[in-house]
Amino acid sequence: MSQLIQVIASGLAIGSIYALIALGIVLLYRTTSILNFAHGEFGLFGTFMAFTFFNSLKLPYPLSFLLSLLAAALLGGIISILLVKPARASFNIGLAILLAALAYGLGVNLIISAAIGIAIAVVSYIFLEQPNRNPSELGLLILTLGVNLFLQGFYSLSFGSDNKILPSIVSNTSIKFAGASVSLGSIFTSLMGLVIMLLLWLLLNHSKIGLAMRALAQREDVAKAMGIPVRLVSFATWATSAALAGAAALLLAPSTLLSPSLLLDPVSKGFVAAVIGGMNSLPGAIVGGYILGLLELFVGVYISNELKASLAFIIVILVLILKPHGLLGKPEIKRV
Amino acid sequence: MKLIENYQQDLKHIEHRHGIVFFLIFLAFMLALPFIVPSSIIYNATLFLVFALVAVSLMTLVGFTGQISLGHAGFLATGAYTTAYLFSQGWPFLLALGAAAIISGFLGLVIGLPALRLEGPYLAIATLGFGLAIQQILNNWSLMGASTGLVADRPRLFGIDFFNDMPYYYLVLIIVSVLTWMAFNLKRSHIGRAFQAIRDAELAAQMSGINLAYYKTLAFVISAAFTGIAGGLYGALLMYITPEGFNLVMSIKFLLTIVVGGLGFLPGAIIGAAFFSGLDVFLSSQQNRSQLLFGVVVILLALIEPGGIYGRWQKIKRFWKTWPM
Repeated sequence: MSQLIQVIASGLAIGSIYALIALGIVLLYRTTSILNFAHGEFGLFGTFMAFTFFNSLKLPYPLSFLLSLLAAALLGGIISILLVKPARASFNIGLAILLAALAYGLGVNLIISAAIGIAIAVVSYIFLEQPNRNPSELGLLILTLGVNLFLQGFYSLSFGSDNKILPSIVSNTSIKFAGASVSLGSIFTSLMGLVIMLLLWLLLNHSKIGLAMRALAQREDVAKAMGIPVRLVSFATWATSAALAGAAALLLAPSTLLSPSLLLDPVSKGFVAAVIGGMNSLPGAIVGGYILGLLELFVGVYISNELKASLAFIIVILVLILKPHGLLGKPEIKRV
Repeated sequence: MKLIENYQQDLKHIEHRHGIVFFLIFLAFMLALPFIVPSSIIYNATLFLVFALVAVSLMTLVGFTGQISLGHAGFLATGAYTTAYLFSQGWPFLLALGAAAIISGFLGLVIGLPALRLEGPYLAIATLGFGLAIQQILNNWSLMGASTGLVADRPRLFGIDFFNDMPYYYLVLIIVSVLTWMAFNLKRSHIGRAFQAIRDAELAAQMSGINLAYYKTLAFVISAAFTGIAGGLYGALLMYITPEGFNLVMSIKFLLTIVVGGLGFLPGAIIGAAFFSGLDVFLSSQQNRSQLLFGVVVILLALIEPGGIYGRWQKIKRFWKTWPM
């Protein structure tokens, strides 16, 4: 009995992390139909910023937590403005940053590559017509894969690939509950997960920008015709999604070490949770996350630890054979 | 006016004499390569050949049939482990390679059947899960060395010892060019045309009598079998294989290879593999920078030239053909 309570408590904690990651992926997918493979990198940016704020600038923990969420959100929004839905000026800025990074990657001095970037931005703004693009779903997926590699390389270069430690926000003790000792950290994680889900629900259902996001999810061209600023809403969606990734990463980070590969496994589980629940259903993402977290813990404790690692992928294939659009997802209607 | 009376005349319209000339020139170059470059590069050239084969096989799946796969590292691992294990049990090397193709192809069938009902993100995540599951299974399978890995020996065939890099390079070159030639012919055959019809308009293809289930599964099986052979060659090239080597990043790089080279064109697959292998050699001392650079190149291509390097080359060619216009 006491072991059961422990398993459920840790399962809920890891499940809420999966659910938060899956929520970010699903929110972005149903609003902009982009499968974002750079999702984990946004979260990682949050943890690295939190580490910098907390260790170098000596800010208090809750403040650095909030600031790093904001930083992750900004990074997501900036990617949206510069690369995914760029206007003419921002397209050129994005091009300039990329080419400056190219020069830097090829071994040019940092200042010279910045100068190259600025020169290219000016020249291309004056002379270059923005290519008329209507990227396909696969093209956007490739774009996010590129962003993923780019940010990974950037983190390794600027933060180093050695392991760092982010302290936990709550003390590392356990409380006794019905004979079982449940760690305070996992209770905190589950509660924070619920709070963030509630905040997301409020944002989507009781604010103007949330209404605009839901409108964009239904039909982008009609939303545009109704006067919804599509670029702004896209910015807000990317920012919200990135902030969710940041929150998940910050909740996860204290229990492990901080390194560029911190989120590799949780994000692939988050993708699995999103697919189990259905890619266009937000409640599905939450359900998928908790199911995956709890099942993983149960199988790991009661059946075998070896099975735990590949369990997620067995579940996803089983669910997809039975319900190709996830548990709560609706099939997209195709018109010819 | 001459009427077209039979299929042979029909084929003349899509004759590709230039393609054969290019292929032969490229082959001659690859044959002469070990005598031109320093011997340390031969290893990388062999690696390029293996990845070119993976890219060609992934191109038949993603580029022709339009089904995405993020799990090809899993097929590569299957091929590598099958070949290494059977070879160590005393099977002849070529037979072990054949077994690798069959087992990988069978796994392709297993993953291809559920993939029939999936599309877009669901297929991407299901194949991603397959790749990670293979890695985890190998990690826990004690017969296959679990996480410590397996020794993969290079073979002795027809009295020639392929242990050194240079003879092995030629063995890989022969196998890869035969399989690439087969892939080129596959694209022109009725099977390849059915694949492309499915990619361009699934419903229209079905209306024209193409059996969707059969051809979609076949694409997975062919692609997986080719990748399995590439895996066998890859394992013997590395001489020691571990499950960590076949991770998600590898699958992602395979997908990016064919996109950078040019999605939908077989020469694009080879160009993409050459591009990434060249970048690897060029930046081998700076691992982090090379990742940054990969990312930048991929983003730039996705933004500016979705057709990839080969797509751009075709545009340039068309521009000069019709130049004064």
